[in-house]
Amino acid sequence: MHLRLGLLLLLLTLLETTVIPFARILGIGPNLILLEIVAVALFRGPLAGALLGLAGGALLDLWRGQALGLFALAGGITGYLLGLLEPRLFKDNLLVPALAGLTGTLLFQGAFLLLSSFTGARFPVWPALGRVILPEALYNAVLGPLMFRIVANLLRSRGVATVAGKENA
Amino acid sequence: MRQRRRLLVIGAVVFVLLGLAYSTARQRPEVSLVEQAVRDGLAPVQYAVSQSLYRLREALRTVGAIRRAQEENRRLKQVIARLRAENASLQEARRENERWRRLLGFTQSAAIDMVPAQVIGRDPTNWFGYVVINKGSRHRLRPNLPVVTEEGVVGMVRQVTPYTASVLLLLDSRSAIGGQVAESRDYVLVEGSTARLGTAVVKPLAPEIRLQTGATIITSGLGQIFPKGLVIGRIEEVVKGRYGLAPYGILRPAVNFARLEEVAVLVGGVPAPASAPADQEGATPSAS
Repeated sequence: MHLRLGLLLLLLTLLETTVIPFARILGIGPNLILLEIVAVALFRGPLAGALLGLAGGALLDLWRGQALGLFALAGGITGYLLGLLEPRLFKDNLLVPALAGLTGTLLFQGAFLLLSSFTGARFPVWPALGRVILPEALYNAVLGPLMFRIVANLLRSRGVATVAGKENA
Repeated sequence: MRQRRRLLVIGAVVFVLLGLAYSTARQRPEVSLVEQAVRDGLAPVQYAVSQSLYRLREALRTVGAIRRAQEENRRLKQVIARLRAENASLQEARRENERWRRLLGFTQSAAIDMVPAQVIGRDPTNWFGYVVINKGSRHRLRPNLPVVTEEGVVGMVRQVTPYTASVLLLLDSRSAIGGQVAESRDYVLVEGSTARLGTAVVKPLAPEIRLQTGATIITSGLGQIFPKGLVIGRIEEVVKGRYGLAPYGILRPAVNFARLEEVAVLVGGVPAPASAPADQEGATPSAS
């Protein structure tokens, strides 16, 4: 399972740095890596969410090459916090992955902005919220259900996933 | 006990990552072995994917352009005929110019040494303006070299690995380029911005400078990174500064970053400024 999730992470990194920039709307693209973190957190809980968040964020850090660790921390925090919701959600509802994509983006970008200030970087908060964070959150909300389906299939194919939330009923 | 151990582990991870982020927050010309492995390892796959994308896009464009091709072909033949005539006369003028330069003791600055490269990766986070190109230190690239296209300034090399380099775009909030208003010759600073995506900010370097909408901004050459006279972009709006601050301009770059595929890195650096003929004897362009 871990290998498959890791390979998916690498594939999404490749897509994010090559194909996705061409699918940007008004300069904003979705964050597929974050969507995988969100999906895994909601299926497998806080520990898996945090670990995948750290790994996915670390890939973004290595790609960026500056202030290494910020995206890893932001990803870890997002995965952990969303993972805490895992026993409480009925994941068959289409709204759940959409809202999780939206909430995950707000958490991830909020954590990144907060942590960035620790390294001396300054982003104007309101323009950042209006022009980057909210549009990306909407984009991620739309693609959230698709990523949920992909991650669910990956987990189910190994017989380790209980996808439909019935285990929580 | 387990709860305490977990908290300790989380605390240690947070501490280590924050320390790492703090210590790598400033510009680092050199990259670590891990970063090098990730970037160079992904580069061939990214190159293949980018190439396929570019070809697909080109094919789609070609299909759309086929109807216009015949008319354009006829028009281009006329243009070629005119340009040939112009070229012949310009060649003659150049030869004449060279003769006068030799006579006056000037040395012609060497032809600009550039390395062509392809964009193989882009920023995945929406926050930053950088791209990754498929040339690195093995191709004579090093940090702070200017990167351009035939349209104008793209940005500058920030980090290099043996086979890739990351290029900080002029749109990035960390970018600042010395500029000049082409029409008035006033000096300005062009800074990247996160406030408006796809644009940069033009700040006058003196309070009496008045920016005009539509003005062309070129590189000033004062920063010793970009040669003088490269087009950066055009001012599309002049915004009043708040709290009595000077007005600033919103710059639309000459380069279309959404369609950026091929770039050239000026590895020769900035040509030496002209000085007295005697001093120029045997001079070569200096690297910035």
